[in-house]
Amino acid sequence: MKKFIKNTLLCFGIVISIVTFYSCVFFNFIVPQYTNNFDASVVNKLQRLDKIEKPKIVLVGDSNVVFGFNSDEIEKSLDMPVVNMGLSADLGNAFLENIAKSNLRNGDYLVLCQYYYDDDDSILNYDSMWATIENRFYLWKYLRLKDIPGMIKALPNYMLHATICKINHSGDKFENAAYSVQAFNKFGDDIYSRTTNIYDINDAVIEAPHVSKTFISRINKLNQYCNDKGATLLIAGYPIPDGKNTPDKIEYLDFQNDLKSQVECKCISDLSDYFYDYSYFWDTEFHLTNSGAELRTKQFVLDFKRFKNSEPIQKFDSSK
Amino acid sequence: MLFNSYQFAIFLPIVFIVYWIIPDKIRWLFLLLASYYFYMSWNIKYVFLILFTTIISYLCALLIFNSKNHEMKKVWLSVALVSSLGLLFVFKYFDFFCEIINEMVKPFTIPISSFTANLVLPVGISFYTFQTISYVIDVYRDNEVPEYHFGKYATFISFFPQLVAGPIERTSDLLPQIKAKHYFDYNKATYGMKQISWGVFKKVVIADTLALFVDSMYGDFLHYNGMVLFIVAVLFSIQIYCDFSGYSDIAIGTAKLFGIDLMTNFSSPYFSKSIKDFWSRWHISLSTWFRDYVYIPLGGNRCSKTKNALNLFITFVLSGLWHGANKTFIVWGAIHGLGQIIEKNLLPLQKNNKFDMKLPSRIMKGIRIIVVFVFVSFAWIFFRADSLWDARYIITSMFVGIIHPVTYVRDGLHMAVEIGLNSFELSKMALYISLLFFFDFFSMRMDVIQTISNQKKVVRWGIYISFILFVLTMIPSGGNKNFIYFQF
Repeated sequence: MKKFIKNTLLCFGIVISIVTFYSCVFFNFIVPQYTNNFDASVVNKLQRLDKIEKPKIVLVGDSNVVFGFNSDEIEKSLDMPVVNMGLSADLGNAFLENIAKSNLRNGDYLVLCQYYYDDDDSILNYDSMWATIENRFYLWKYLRLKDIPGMIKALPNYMLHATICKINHSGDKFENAAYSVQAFNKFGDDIYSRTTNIYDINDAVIEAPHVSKTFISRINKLNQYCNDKGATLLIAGYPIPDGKNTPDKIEYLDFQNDLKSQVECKCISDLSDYFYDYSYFWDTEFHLTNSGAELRTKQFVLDFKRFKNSEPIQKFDSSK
Repeated sequence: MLFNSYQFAIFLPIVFIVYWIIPDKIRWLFLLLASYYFYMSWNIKYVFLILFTTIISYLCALLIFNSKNHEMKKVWLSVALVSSLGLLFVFKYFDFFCEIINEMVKPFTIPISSFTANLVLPVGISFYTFQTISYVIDVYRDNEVPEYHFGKYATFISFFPQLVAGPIERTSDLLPQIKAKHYFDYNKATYGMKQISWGVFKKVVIADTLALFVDSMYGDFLHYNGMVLFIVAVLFSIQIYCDFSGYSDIAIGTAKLFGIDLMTNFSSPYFSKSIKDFWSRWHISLSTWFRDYVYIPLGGNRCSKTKNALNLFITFVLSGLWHGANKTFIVWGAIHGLGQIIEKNLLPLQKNNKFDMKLPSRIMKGIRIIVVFVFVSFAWIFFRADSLWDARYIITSMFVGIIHPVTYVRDGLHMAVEIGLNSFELSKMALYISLLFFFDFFSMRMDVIQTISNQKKVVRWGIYISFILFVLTMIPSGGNKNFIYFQF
């Protein structure tokens, strides 16, 4: 049996040595390979976040945030610097929230504008996460211990694809310019020209949102963290396609009441103000056209001002 | 705990080392405790079910053996069968039975409130129930002497490598090995490790990769038609083979680490030249169980042609039902039963050269293998679909556009890309299936693992390390997928 154990350990030892050696070569010489893709924008967003010393507004959420705001307009209207920390939903709500609270200071506003409120606290796509963080070791600290097993499992696939990209010089190629890092402005908004709707939302399945205990627990802990830092956590609305596929508005109001009754932070929006005609959506039921983003920005500014001044709800009237 | 989980990767080495350190006298006890711990990791309260089944079958076998008259033997046999099958019925078939009753009385508008138990199916119940039944029946038939040592008998029933998804072991094969004295066999243990590796490759690399595409299509099949449905049907055939045979390889390899040999459960089934041949190569432990405890007692083939056909049909329908409480499984079993009946009746015509196509025998063999594969893949559609309606839709939609072959293929490939089957994924799949094909092909002529083990040290170590690195690189990054046969 000693020989068996010795040979087994030797075999695995050789495998581990090869893997370790290749990992060192890989992380030093092969990556990063995805410096041009959508989530590579996290580098610039984080730099902006860390640079701003004054009280700021940090917009947090998935790609609906990226394709849904005019942060320059928000800055001018509210006279506060804005950072759009929106990234792909694949990275998971927990990661998006975690990274957005970097350099959180007294007087800051962390505004959650997610699409999903019933997550299970996990990363949705580990391959996307690897493509985002690559060998940017300063980003690895935003992962949690529970993310490690999934990341390890996805590592061989990422290494394989990145190595192939290195050989083919295809890492920075992208099919859709809207999803490249060049489409982002200094605030973190995607400013690719999105003039008309190019996606038939009649093909989409739109579900009313729900709240999970996991989400509530995490948000309340985040709220406590913000309070300790002297910052304020807020929840704002997200764009909802208004058409024949959309569930009854009462379901959204029920969700809203359920959310408000459980979170310890303020919900500054009324979701009924965030229903937009299908024509305001661009390539999915989550992403707004440029004009849709303007409408949503104006509504958000109204909501925020109302919150700051403790005014009653005012619906943004697009006809004025 | 799944075989392809971190928990099992920690559990197995600990159990292995402790097993070989402790004295041989108490190894059975340690295996028993380890097996119950393994089972409790799934759901702690269902351990009482396996304990109950073990106790009843143990006592009934002793009572059968010690009964003086035949009538009492029958009584104790009935007690054992009713209690084991009764439990299986309650947990697995009760809701399905209620659904069937409701459907039958609906046309007569008899008011029956629909009651369902909604019980969670205890993992492995179909497997260990059949194992206890075969033990009791073998004792009743005087083929076996009952085991008086309860602990060793309980170890035989609960032996963890084969507990949750087989192979369904016979008393004469496994029980003596549980009781025997074992000395560490280096060659057997290393063979076991290699078999585990091959099983992990089939399950984690091939089956779990194919599952991504199969699940994607079956989850949204109304959006697809044409060639892509045909492609996915073939992929599912390979997925279920790799999933189940991969599990069996891991189970058999794990048992070898403890010096125990389990029965072969798969023998290159997709190289079968007939449906009968397929069932002598696929899930061998189950097909032989049904042969010995259902088909032969019904009369087997020692009766009229009509009765024999009926026996075959009943056996396969029951086999389908064993797999799950759904009409789709019954239809799947019935298809195989009918296939065998038709094949049996065609055999005399073939022997009389009615179908002599005057082709070389190798080409005829190849054609037969392809025909059987297509038949089996067609039947798998019912196995995988959630309902008969879904299966019917998939089968009829598969042929949409086939009269325009160019468009059929082009649209099929386009839809395949939609579910993720791009050229890179197709290349990976081609590589996996080629490896699988060559391994199974050569397995019919030799022991592939032993052949590799007989090579020079440098060559075989190169193969081992390359293979491990290959498996690590090719693991899909989606979550751990359960073994398909765990749901039975």
